[in-house]
Amino acid sequence: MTIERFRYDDDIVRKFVWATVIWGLVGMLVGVLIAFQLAFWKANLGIPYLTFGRLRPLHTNAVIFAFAGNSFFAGMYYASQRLLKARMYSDKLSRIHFWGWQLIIVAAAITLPLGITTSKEYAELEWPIDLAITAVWVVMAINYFGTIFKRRERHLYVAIWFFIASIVTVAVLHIFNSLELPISMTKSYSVYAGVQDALVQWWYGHNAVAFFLTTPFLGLMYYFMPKAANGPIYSYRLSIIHFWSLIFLYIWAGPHHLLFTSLPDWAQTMGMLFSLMLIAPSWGGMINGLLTLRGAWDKLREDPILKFMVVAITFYGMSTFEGPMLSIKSLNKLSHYTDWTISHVHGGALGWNGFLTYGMIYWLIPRLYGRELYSKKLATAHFWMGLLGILIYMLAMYIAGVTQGLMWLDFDSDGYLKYPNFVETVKAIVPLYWIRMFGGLLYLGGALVMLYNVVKTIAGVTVPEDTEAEAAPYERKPLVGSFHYRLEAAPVTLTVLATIAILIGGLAETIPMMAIEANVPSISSVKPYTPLELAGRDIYIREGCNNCHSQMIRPLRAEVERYGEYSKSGEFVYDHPFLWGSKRTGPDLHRIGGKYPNLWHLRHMEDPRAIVEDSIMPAYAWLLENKMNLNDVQAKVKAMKHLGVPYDRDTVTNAKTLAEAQAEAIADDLAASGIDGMQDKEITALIAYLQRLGTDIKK
Amino acid sequence: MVEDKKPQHQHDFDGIEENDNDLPRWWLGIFAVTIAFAVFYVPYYHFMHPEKLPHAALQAELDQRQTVLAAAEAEKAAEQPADPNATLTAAFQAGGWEESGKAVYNANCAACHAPDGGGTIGPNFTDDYYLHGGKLSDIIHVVTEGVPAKGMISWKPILKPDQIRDVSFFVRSLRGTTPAQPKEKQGELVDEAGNFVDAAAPTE
Repeated sequence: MTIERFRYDDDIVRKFVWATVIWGLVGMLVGVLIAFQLAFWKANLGIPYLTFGRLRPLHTNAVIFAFAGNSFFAGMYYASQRLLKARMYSDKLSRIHFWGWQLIIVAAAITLPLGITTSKEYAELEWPIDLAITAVWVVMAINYFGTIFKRRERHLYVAIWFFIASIVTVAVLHIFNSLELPISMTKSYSVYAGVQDALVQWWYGHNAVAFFLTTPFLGLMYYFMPKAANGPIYSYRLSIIHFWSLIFLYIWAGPHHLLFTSLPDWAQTMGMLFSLMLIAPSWGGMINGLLTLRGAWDKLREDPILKFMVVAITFYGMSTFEGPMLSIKSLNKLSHYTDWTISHVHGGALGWNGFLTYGMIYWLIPRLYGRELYSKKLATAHFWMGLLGILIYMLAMYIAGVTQGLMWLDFDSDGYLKYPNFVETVKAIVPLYWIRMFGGLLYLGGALVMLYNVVKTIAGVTVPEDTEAEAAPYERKPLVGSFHYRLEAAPVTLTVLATIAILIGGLAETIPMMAIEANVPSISSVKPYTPLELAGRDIYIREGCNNCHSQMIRPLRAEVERYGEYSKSGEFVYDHPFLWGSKRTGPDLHRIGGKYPNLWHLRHMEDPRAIVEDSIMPAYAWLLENKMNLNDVQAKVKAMKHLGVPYDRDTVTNAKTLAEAQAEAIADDLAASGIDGMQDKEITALIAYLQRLGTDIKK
Repeated sequence: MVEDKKPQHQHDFDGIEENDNDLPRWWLGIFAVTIAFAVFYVPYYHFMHPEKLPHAALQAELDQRQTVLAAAEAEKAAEQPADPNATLTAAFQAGGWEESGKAVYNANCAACHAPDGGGTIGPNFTDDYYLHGGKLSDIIHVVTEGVPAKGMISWKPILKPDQIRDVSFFVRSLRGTTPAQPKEKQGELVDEAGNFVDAAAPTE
């Protein structure tokens, strides 16, 4: 038998590892800054580019796509080459993937602070960047499948199944959630509206967690955990069952982000039930990972790498239990829109993604640079700092979430809201925001310790040549064994079946939502936004108001008493995109329209504390100075008309004039209260939008 | 210790070995229970008890609350004296509302009417000019129902009847005081009792 000799591409792994380390620090630093802003509003610094509403998407995008993304790619390139016994299909494509991805991250870091955003969570990047993501993803997929086709090991190991499912599903999610109609290079509108947009967004948002933060990392775990522990995976058959059940069930669970919203009840039920059914499939991965250490638990005492990995898998197990619990409607009533969700996601992100990444990096660095780690002690110190940081963070946010959730729902003995002023419930948790920031700082400090350790390790090192390997060539002979055994040797069939598995849930939920009108009962008094309101809505999106304010009053008595009539799906039919929000750092705004005078809004945006003494909202004084741009308002109205919003010809033709006339009327009202010269300022458009919110059903 | 089961086929996955142990019983149990729960849940809520779904449940709760409020309202109406303003005036003069009224005012009204009642976004309370009448009952009415067209919200869902009364008394007590920055007068002149001096002035 001939033996082929070849080399793995280690350079590309080193590149991705460094990108992980650097972007991780950037993402966490932004996280600490926005945590600081919630504790201390002055930390918004009065600079538009640095306000919470604009930086929060930067933080989430940086940690998900830059930190976890590069970590996924680093591990995938390292593990896959060795599992497939082949160098990557094309070194050039590997590098296009690497540099393309880094450019996308840089583009995100520039555009998001500028307020260039679609507003859809974890999909905020505007359409040119969306296209670039698609292109880079396709390059990666070609490279990856190319490698699979030139592999020498005929059977695909479970890690590869997870990588394949991730690559395919992320592509599907990204493309369908990003369908948008551009009006300029920096602005587009989602093709979906209201409830449908919400459903598609959370099908995407939930499965970004699933197929960007869970399945890729399970793939990494299946390679690096047995490598680091030097033990066997617990159960091959468990890996088969949990892989297929996980990818099939995950897709259905998106609506649990929309419990008690205007989403039809049947879809909410799907979201809750499929989340509960996900416990076992998720835990299958945890069992297979943890039990790799069976009989060798003592190694944990010595080895910081195993410490990181075991704690990561433990956090995975906790998060995948907590998630389904939060999907139970009666608990979600309490937790939704609060910091409990923030606690939950950070358990996953800091514990599972972060710690698995760190364990992997400490394992990889000596192998990629041919030198022992500089200090095991520092790695252990990093571990304890990180763990303590996560626990402080999560506990603070958990207490904040439960406290605020209970206060929102609390009635006194006479049946009146016990805390009718929203700000009282904010004041109660500000001390916890400080504690959370401290937890985040500790975690960031740990990451800096790692940077130091890695730099010390590789200082002055001669970068070794690519690792040499040898294997027998791919041999085609009839396979005897179970269906799955044969499937593992048939990557195309496996990919097709995985694609079918992930499409079923999404199609089963979105097709009825789009096709059956009864799901969104229409309300005849609901009319399209005026051109000026549309312009104001885009300012709302630019400033990221939706990051702190919901526009979705749940059908709960406490909400109806606090905010007014609960939100109906028919009210959002012209909302491209929907702006329901997912977190209430400030109160809901769906019925803010007509509640206060124009002057109230102007004063409040200029200085929130002039109206609400304890408010933690940033001041938006620049809205009173910036001239509003109505040059593209006609293009906006036209785009909306294309998307099916019933504007008449007159509105399209005279969009700008109509906007100016409405602005004049608002400015006159403000002038009567002694504020002159607002007819061409951005604040006027924003006021027009806010005053319209939620008012149509009262007509 | 139980021997690990091995898969029939072994591969070279870069030195990684796999066992092929049975699925843990408790794991299968959790999976089965969650699936069974789903099968039970759908017919239970969607077909047998649709009244427990959010909108219907909310409606029931709101109806119940309405009944309680209506009963309280009816009780109050039964006690309504012949001349409500005389009774209110007596209560106003008797005092005892100052502390509560001020607290409610500072928490809810000061933002738009200034802490000293001089007015900012909303009207000035210190002068003798009123938009909706200056009688105690007029003030209570405005606080309770609001003036939606002008951005004065209805405080009925938020403040209790006693709190509304106390804060209205407090607002009345601000009349004739000297604020730091008085807003210009709005509305029409009223007499000491709060009635519009010019009979043609609007009452609402």
